[in-house]
Amino acid sequence: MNQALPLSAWLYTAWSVFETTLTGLAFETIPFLLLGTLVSSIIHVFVPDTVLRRIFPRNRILSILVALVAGAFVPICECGTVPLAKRLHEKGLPLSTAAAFLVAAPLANPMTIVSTYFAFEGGPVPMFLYRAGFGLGAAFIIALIVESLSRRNGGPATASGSAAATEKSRLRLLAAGAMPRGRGLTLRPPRMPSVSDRRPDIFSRLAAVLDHTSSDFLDSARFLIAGISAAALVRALLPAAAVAGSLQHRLPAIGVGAISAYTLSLCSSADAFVARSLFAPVSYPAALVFLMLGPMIDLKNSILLARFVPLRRLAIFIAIIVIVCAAVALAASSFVGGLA
Amino acid sequence: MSISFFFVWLINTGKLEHIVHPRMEPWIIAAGLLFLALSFYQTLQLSSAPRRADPLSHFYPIVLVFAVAYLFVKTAGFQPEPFQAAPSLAIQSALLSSHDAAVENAGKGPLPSRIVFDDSTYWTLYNRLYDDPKAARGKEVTIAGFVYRKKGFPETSVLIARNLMWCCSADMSMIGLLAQGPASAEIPEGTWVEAEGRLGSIDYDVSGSGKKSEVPLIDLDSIKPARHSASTIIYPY
Repeated sequence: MNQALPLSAWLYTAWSVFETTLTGLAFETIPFLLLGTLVSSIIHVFVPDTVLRRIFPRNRILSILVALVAGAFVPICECGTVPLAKRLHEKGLPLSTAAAFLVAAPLANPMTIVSTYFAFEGGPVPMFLYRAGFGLGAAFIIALIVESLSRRNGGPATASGSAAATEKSRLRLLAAGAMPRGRGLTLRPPRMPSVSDRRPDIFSRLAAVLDHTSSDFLDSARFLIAGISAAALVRALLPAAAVAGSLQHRLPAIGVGAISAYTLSLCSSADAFVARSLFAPVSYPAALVFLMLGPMIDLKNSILLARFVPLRRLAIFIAIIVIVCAAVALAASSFVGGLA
Repeated sequence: MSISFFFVWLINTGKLEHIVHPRMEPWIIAAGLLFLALSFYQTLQLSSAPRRADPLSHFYPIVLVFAVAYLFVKTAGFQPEPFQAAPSLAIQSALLSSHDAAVENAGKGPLPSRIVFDDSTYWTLYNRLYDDPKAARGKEVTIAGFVYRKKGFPETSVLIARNLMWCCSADMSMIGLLAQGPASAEIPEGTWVEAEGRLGSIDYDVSGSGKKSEVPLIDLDSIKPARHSASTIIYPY
């Protein structure tokens, strides 16, 4: 923001940017959060744990690799992957697998890859390949670190409490109206099947899907709104000169790229064009870290994740993502021609 | 339910395109239908099991109503006016030229003697001119946009600008061509204009980093306020 403007003009301009950004982010993120909670509820109601265990191998490394690829089949932006990842973990998948899905799905999304291709088309660097390749590599490393920390802490690597080990216990939980834990905000408890129901019929299941979608969405939406408000505020106040003047040297450029990705909270289907105009051709390493980090974690998603993850663990998770992405971008720029 | 009707109203009035890229429309429609289904279902369940006691459950719906009402009022009066912002990050990023040393691929063919910018060709022509300003030197140009003056512009120089939207209004940024001519000094900032002139180039520090690069410049023959005949927003893909 141009500090030489009179205060009143500066405030008016800042409010204008804040309002426009907030409106745009709201319309961009709320549909995907709603659809993400719908898919999450469908998985909760219709997909037995046994099916998920067949898809995701018991071997943790293989399970992480499957999670990395699974994101390609989920064309939802990063806001919608949060409730999905949460649900997968609650269904019994290891924390590292859920984390791998959370950070990799927005990167493996075909819309992200295509938009990156068009944004850097004609340039000297095949950024869409680098973004996908190095990004998924970073996601794999992040998941391994999460797995290592989970084992070291001695806690369960799979979710406890709400995850049902068998089909019978899953249906029992469904009939009991399993609700989101914590400060869950609900309009009403999910429908309770009658005592004579041995197995909920399709209508009960559909009703349960709608119930869970409503409660999960309302529960998450307030945190999402807080997140996009914070992102809009940062956007309104961020000085433009901070980006332009820091790109000449590799390390500061990567740092600026990482901070920009976190604070701008851009949708992964559009951030490639912003990255191109902000960083290329001055600093492709900064563009790479921007494109890897943004879909994995940003300001609005951090606040959304705070609903489900204890703050201390969330801070550690964010730090892991930032450090790994920066390290991968630095290493890539040292060894890959064109990125330097 | 109010959110569903709000989405429908935005789509029917065309105001949605001022907030999100048109390719987002199917997602907005899907979300609107889902909100409608959820609201009908919850309405039907109102008479069944008692509500869980939660102090926030009384407060939250009221906040949502106010939020939707605010958005409705904001977008109801929405006119396709220029996204006026001082040099914020968005605008600085837009003014940064996206050209590299490589020239646009030869498949586009030679530029015509008179280059006319319209909504469908704006992005392609914009990139061609910034990629290789020399190739367009001497050619006549017709362009429409709103007037923007950056701090430090000479009095007779303006940016004839449009808003560029990649995904939504949150990532909207401003692009345009520099133009100079005595007539431009009298036109207030934000005015929608139609301009004609001849293309040249100038070395200009677009990014504000102290490094100048060659960018296209319109030597104006005429610039006059005009009625909005096109949207201010360009959707590049």
